[in-house]
Amino acid sequence: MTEHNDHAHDAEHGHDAEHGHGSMKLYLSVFAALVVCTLLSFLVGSSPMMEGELAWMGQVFMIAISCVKSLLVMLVFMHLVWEANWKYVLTIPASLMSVFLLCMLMPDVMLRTRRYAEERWRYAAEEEYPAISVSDSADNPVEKGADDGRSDDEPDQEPAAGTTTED
Amino acid sequence: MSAHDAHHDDHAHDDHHGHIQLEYQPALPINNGKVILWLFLSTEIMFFAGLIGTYIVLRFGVPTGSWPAPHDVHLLEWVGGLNTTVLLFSSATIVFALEFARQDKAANAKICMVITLLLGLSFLGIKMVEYKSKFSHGIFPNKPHSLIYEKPDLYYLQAVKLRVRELDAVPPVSTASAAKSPAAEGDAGAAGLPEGESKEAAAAAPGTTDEDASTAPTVESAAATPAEPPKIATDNDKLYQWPEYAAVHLGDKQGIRALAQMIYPLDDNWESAAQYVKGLRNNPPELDTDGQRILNEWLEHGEVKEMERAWVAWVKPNADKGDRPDFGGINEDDHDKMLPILIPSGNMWASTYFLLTGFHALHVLVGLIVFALLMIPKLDSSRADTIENTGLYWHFVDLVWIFLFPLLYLF
Repeated sequence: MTEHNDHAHDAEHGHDAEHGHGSMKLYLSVFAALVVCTLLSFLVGSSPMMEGELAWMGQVFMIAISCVKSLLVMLVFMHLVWEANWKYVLTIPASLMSVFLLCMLMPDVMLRTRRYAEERWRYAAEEEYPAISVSDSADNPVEKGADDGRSDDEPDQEPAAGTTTED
Repeated sequence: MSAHDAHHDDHAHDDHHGHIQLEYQPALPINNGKVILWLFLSTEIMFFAGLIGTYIVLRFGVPTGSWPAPHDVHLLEWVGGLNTTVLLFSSATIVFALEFARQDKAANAKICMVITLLLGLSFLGIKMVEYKSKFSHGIFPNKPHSLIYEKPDLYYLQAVKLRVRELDAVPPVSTASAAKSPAAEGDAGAAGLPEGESKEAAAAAPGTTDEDASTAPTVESAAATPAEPPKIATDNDKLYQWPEYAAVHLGDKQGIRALAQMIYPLDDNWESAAQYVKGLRNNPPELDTDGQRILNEWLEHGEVKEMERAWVAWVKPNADKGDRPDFGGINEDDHDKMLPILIPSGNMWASTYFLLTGFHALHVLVGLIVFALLMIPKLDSSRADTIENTGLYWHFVDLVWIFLFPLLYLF
């Protein structure tokens, strides 16, 4: 009990930083910053940019914003700025392992569809909508079962010749 | 007692002279609860990293452009943003509660704690509304309830067909045929793909041979209110006959795609479906008489015309391309129909979405239970450590949502 009283006593004298907590004003401004960050993410995420070629920039931006937000929460709300060195032991290895996990998964993500064989594309969940060509399919009716009707649907990345057996 | 006093005196003595005070800690300079909680959080970091990493692989590993857009699965960005703000606000209020408790202002601390609890509850409430909007559209992570199909193939067509006949066999107004419906449903379920695509094949299908069932459409249209005659129950078969004919005889799956867009339009795909219909109308393919008749019946179908009408209205010069047009699809117009829907990668989307948000909601729930328990005691400085540890956990829950929000709602 005495310890707690000492603690409260010190806080009143303005030794906040030494005892692991900031001021109400700091917390409020951090909260405001977090809301602004959320708004920024929302605006970028619902902007027409996300429809076009530059969608990846928006995605990188939003993840960066998320990192900033999580740092703010961890450093201020979770008091990590004011903690002793033990904080590094518990947070850094876990975070590094997480980042490492994501990095190890990335090659699969990036290479998967780029190296799709045509067969694989054909049986993929759904291909892009092809250009409308009703007359084509009517002029050259395909035998039942010979083709699944996407003779005029080309995948985005046309695989190089000779890679059709890759799977 | 005396030993303790002596020690205390020494302590006070040092303080008095302002010497550097050396404290010998048996362990870390924080309470044991906090150590345990941080260890727990470090395992939680890796748990969620695994989940989010899995999501990223599945999300970006699908064929280009086939992951559902947020609107296609009834996700609203602003609702996600609102929930983010609610959680951030609750993170701030629990920090305030801790500050007040440390200053021994128990009443203020209690108020902040109550606000935190209420904010946490509103987060779960909004989440429930969101889940419900998925469920009501047949978006579930697995099959018994899920209406999701991923490819515009004959399996999908067959599912639509079975559901249409199921609806057909149970006209809502006729009690006589409703009594016979279980048998009719069973027959419809056993019916395979008819070999000929003629009207006779459809008429000869089990379930419609029954006298009651065959007269059902007229009974129904007579009894139904003139404002809403059910479109599917009257000329249902015509809706899928052309897509089936085109797929089987022409090897052209665009009819199935167009059918899927009429049932459940997707932002990026329904316009192509409308153009396909327009193409068929302006430049009809050469067909035999049967095919010609099936195509004409399809083009005159109310739902086909509805999609075209919406498209024509949408491509007007002043239309706002960014907004979804006035076209909800058959399932949206009548939720009871529950026809199978086509969402490319929809099953994977549902699995990952419900997994990630479900685990997060579970963590929120645990936090709420702790908040509820903290309603009981007086939140003075003796409870500060408890509040701090609860807060640490709650901030972590907030942290996870900070990453889930852009990944699930905005990407």
